[in-house]
Amino acid sequence: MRKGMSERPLFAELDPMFHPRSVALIGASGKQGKVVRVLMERFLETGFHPLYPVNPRESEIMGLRAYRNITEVPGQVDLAIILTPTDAVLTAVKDCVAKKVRAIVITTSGFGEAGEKGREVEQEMVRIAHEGGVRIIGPNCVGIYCPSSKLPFFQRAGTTPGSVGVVSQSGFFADYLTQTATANGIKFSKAISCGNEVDLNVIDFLEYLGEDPETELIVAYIEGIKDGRRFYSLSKEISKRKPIIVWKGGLTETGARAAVSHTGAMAGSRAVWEGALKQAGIVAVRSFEEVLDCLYAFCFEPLPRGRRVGIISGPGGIGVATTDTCLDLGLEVPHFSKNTAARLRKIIPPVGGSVNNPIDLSLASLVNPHLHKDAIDIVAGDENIDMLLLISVVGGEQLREIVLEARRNMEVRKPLVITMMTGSMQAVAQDFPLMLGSGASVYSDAGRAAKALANLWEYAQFRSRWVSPQ
Amino acid sequence: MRRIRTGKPQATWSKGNMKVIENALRQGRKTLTEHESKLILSSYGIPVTMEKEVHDVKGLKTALVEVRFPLVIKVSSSHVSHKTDRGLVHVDIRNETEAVTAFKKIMKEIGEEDASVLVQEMISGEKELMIGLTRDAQFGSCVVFGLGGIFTEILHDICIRIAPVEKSEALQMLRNIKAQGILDAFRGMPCADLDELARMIMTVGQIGCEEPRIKEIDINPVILSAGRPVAVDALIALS
Repeated sequence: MRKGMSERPLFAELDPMFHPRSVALIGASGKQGKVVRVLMERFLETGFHPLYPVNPRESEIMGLRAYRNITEVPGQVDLAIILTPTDAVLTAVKDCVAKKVRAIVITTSGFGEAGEKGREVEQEMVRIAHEGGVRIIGPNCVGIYCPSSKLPFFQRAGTTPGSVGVVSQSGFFADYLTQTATANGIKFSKAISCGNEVDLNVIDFLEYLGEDPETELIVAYIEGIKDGRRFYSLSKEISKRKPIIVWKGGLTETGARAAVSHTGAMAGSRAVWEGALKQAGIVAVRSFEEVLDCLYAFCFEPLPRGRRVGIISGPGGIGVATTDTCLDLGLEVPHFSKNTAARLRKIIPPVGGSVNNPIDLSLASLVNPHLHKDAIDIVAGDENIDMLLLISVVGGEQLREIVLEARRNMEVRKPLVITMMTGSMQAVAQDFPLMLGSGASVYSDAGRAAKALANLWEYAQFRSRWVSPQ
Repeated sequence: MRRIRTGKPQATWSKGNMKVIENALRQGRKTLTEHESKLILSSYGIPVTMEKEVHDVKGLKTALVEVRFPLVIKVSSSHVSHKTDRGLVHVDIRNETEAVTAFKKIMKEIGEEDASVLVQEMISGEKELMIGLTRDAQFGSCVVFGLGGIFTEILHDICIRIAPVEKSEALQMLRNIKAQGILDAFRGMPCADLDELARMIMTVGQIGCEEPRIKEIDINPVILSAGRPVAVDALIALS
């Protein structure tokens, strides 16, 4: 355990990095086709100010005054982002220390990941930075994204601040997640790509996001960590307050270890990791798709109070098969109360439909879309039901209105996840941003919707063990 | 050795345990014998088989007064592997004649002057589990729970948690293996004492946290005898 964790010194040290008053881009360029130009463009789009491009061969870049060296920049530079070629990085770090910047992001690659020589340069840059009291993020990363202070990523992530914090050992994951999820109604507080972690690592940023009042939900992509104990204890503490969704890469890479007994032989790293994630209350996912699926449910839905799912389905067969999926995931699909069944009987046609769980709205739901809403209203009020799964045969604006109104009608908010089975795949895809943008958790398949509910329930159970019921 | 049934994890690391470990280390051993392993587990309140360690026929006969038939006679030395394959384990011994025959067979097979043999009560029960301690390079002490006996290796049906393990986590582990149904009552066999199993899991984790010289623990099988778990075989490896 890191000493003094409870005193939050790490948060105090890292928080200013996300709220810099000035940024220097070392190695900036306006030349078309250069990756560094992309970041310049993003900074100009977000309107961060003041921004100091640094390039020894330029006096102006994309309309901004450029400086030959960071030491020539007038006034304080809080954050320096180094984008230079590999062999110029060490000198840039020295200049940053001379300029007394507060933090350095190094996006340049070609260091530890390239071999022993790169590792030596990394150690040297850390030594120089620490002597000057400066912290480093990277190298070999895409840096930090913080919409509330107009810090952009390379790709176009949203500019509206939200409550999802991301920390990732894959630069692309952080960059792509913030970009693609933004298009689907998810807003982020911060995202950090930690690269080769020569100084600050994924656990440091996990601790930071755990303390960060702007972050309510954390997503992490992790491949390897240096201190499993710290990761475990820290995650377990954070999970009691905010959910952590982890996609762990490299699970099948079993380290060679001498095993005297059978126990030792079996306890491959995968089983230990899976145990540790579960024990720490972490929501462990296995794909990028599942990361997004979880994000929707955790951002848009409340935590369920139990495992009982009410399934409302337009098509009968899909409802039956989804019931199987729910049960396989450890959820229940119980009988409705007598009152619920009686009320459903009044709205659902006696021929072709079913008022049992899963509800079969029958073909009538196609011509009478309000059946969806009426059924949600009734089932949401059933005390035997903790979560709702809707399989809808209508989509678009119509479904959006149905869902939002049904949700407003709920006396007690219960998770409501939706699968649209309407028209062509392309037509359904077009409805996704509409639904998600309105905070409705939609999934292209009922199995994925059910898994999202199972993940909510799994976390709700962990949380309830540590938070006494109100 | 007395079987302790309801013992709570002991708070202090006893001098006896210290001696057992120091003795083994002094002899350059990397593992404790089954009997030594159980002495340590028992001192922490883990229920183990009633057993006596003997070196000659005279000692064997004395042991037979205390350990009731039917019983098991097996080699005790820590460095002997593949005990069952080599005919070094004799089960269901029902009288003194059978006991002496088994004892002599074992002595002949291993052919060592100072060899020791365990005379052990035979625990009847068809449900076999395992509980273990392992040291992970990243996470440190981890407790393993799973299906025991020959199925441990065949099915790999295990659940791992980081030590120390809390009661609720231990109970969750029991329900986290695929074969969790083995813990329920069926075919006239009672359901497992879940509290006691959870306590054993927690205790193994506690040992891992308290004693760095213990590298690994393998209690396999833990047999459910009328629902109550008993450590029937155990191996402790030293760092």
